[in-house]
Amino acid sequence: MAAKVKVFTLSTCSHCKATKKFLNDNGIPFDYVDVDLLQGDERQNILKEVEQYNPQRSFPTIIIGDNIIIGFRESDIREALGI
Amino acid sequence: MLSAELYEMLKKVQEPKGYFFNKDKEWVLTILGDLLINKERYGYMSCPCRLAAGNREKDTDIICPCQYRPEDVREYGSCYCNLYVSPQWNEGTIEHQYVPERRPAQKSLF
Repeated sequence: MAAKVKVFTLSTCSHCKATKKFLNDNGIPFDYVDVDLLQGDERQNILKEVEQYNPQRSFPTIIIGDNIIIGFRESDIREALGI
Repeated sequence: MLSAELYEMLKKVQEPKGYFFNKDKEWVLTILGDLLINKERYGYMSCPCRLAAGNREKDTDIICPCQYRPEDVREYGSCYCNLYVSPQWNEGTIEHQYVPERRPAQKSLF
């Protein structure tokens, strides 16, 4: 079964846009959250989640199965996806 | 303001300082468009690649051009967003590494 892919992003971030495009272009299903578009408790709760994976809370933070990839690092993403 | 106008305006100011726009103009115009979105949202052009606190005092280090640009361009040939780069980066004479976040973690805790 393919690894579950979740991406924490900002709607304005170029590396986040590049990540989404890469996943779409490769036909990889993924969930994403644009954290800058959230407010109040919803934002704080997601930020706590991001912090567990990436204490620096930078974007994109990409979760592929058990792999955590910080930033649009294409070769790491390919390796984690096995593509 | 349009991204294209911002492009011309910033190019004039930044190039003499040694900071050049990425030669991928589409990439640059998208980022400039996102800077304008942030200006609308927060009242200042906060780095679109980072989550803004929405408070000028807390975001002061990430108002574009950010405080980390000189070190990032010196070390990697590019700022964190790949907006401003060195001539060597544009010419491809240095490796295009992913620029890691240099901003101290505690600054993004708010």
